[in-house]
Amino acid sequence: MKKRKLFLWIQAALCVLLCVLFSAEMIHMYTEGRTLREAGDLSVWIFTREKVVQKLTELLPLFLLELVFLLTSLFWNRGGREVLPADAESVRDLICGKVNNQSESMRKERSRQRKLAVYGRAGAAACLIPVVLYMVNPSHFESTELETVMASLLLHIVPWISMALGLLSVTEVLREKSMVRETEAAKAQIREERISGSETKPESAYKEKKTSVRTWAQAAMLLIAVALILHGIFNGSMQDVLIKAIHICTECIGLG
Amino acid sequence: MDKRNTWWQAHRPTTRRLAQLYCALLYNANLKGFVEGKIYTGNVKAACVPGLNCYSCPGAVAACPLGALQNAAASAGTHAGTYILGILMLFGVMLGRTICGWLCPMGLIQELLHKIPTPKIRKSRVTRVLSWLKYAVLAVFVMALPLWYGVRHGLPLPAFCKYICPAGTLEGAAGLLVNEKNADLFSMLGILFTRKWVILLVIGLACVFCYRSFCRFLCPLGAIYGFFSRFALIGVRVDPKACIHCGACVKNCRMDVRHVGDHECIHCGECMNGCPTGAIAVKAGRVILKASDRSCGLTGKTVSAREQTKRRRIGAAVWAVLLMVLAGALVYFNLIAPSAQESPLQVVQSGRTDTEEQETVSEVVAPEEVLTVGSAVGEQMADFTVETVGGGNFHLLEQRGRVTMINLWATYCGPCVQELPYFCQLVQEHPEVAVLAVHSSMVTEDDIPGYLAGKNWEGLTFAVDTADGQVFRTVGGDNVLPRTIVLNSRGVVIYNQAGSVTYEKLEALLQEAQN
Repeated sequence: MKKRKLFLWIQAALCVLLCVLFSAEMIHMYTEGRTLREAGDLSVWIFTREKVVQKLTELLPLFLLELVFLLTSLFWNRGGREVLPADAESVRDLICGKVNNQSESMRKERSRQRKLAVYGRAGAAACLIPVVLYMVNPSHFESTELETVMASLLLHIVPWISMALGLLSVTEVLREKSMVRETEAAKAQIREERISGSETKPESAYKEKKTSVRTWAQAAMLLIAVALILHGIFNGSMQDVLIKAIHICTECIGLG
Repeated sequence: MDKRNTWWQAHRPTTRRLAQLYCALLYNANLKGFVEGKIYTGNVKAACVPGLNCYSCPGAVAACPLGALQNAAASAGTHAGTYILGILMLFGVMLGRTICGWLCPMGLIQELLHKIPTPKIRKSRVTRVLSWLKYAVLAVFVMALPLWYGVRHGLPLPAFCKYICPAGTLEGAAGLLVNEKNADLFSMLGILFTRKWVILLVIGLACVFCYRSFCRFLCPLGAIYGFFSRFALIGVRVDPKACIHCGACVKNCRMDVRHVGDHECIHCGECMNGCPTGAIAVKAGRVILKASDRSCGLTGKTVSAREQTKRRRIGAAVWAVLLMVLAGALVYFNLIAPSAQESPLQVVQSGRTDTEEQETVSEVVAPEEVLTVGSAVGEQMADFTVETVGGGNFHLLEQRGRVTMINLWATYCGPCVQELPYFCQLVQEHPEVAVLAVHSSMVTEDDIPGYLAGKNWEGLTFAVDTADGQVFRTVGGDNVLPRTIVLNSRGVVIYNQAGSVTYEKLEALLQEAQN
């Protein structure tokens, strides 16, 4: 078991090392070429086939080592699925569904979870307000110097989005803990109910979902989709797709 | 023998893996493109594939829905991109996120990367929250930025493709650059290329440790299909009569689902095997496409041997048909398919645009220099005449005696639109230079003069290439835009390269041409 763990960590370290070295080589090639260009030699190509091949050759031993590890793992690995932890929400629903009368602590925890969900969402929404305000302000997007615009955009929206996601994450983690506590309380309640001799709650009765609305919605959406496609064929947007697809968009694929 | 069987049982490809491989091959059936270093340019490319597959990949036979959507957003000022909206809606209603699980080549790559045995980051509440990030990516990079820059500035900005998409870097850029015939593409590589490779490596590394990281946290296509999760005809369904709400399905799922079939569910069907009651099946409407063979604990129903044989037979028949389709596609795209426009990329490499132009010309150059006609550096550019926008003609021969720059561009090409002001600046500061900007013959906007009227690009001569692409062919243009060609006063090519230029670069080229 220890050997297996060690093997996994070596493999992980190799993967990280390969990616870091490859990235570093790319950045090094770029800065090297850029320096030459800034010195006034505009005919210099920042990347050349030969340079890239040379750098990749330098990484070849590490890559081969990774390959050997991979092949070894192929025969070592018995292919079993990783065991994932149970989802707290599912467990809570399952256990709490068997309780006849909710205990006070269960109610408290459920109320706490609701509050946390509301606070988390409200906080995230508040964090997103500056993002929306930035996005709807046309003056931020007047310049066609896209690098500057993008840098400014990321600088202004990434911290807020990160904060929103962070806030949601914190509340979700707290909610999960509360769910675990509620589950424990529910288990205790079930034990108490068994001792007191009250009957366990039967499985929740299956409720037939109304499928007709969904069927109609599907049919309507299909019709709309076909109508849009037909409209697109005649208004030239299909031609747009064709023209874009048969030309190599150099900036789309990261060439420049 | 038993050991070998056990190993095979554990490692044999599943139906889903085979479907993913099949789709990757079908979407990239133009295998000769990899050998020739060219992309497929036939009319079939007007169709979109459901998964994320870059249309600049040499093998791609159809368009990428995300690229097409950004392009439609950018050209919303001229006409609504109803075609791609309809296609996305059709795929969404028919398949939903089943596409992510079964039909997406990027999904396949991510899953294969995750197979590298390392310690794994499991799903948690945090990853569930992070899965909302893809909606922000969709809103900002796929919709808002392309729409704003397209409508407001007439500048096509495929922001997601340009700044994030790993499929474009891996399939498009790497696919083209590995071919020696495209060595000249290296000339345009710079910060964008470096950044996108680093992003690709980071995403790849994330996928090794965290299952389908790109798909779960960043992919806007998954976000779009997620909107249709309630309405998709095909997908994983739970039989509520058999479900005991044990939560085993959610527990066994590696995606951030709250329940089977929600907007995060990719309908991979892996939960079927973990369900103790066999309540889960992949269904198309009411027809069961794939179900667990185990008995249903609650209802007591078991799948009979006869039923199992029947399922196997149907599966084999479906695969036979699919393989025939694949074989047909491979034959068609590699041996039969005509291209919408012949790419002269190979011709450019050899410096010839036409065999009949290989004759030597001596009347236009000094008697001691006998140059061949062609578009490669050091060759004499063949004469051509093209009708200019606003009337009149541009004769190349008439420009002899002064430096001439020819720029190949298109309204739907972002870098092209961005670099044209540099040419204007050059002409203003050096009026002796002639600059001809030739728009591709593939015109998306009927009104090129109207487009130009909205721009303040003075001093340049604009023309639209003839329908048969005569100018592009003569000057060595291909389907890579933009391209700049610089001729000295004797009409000899001193520069002919695809890729963007800066004002400093143009000045340097002008100096070189004048010397």
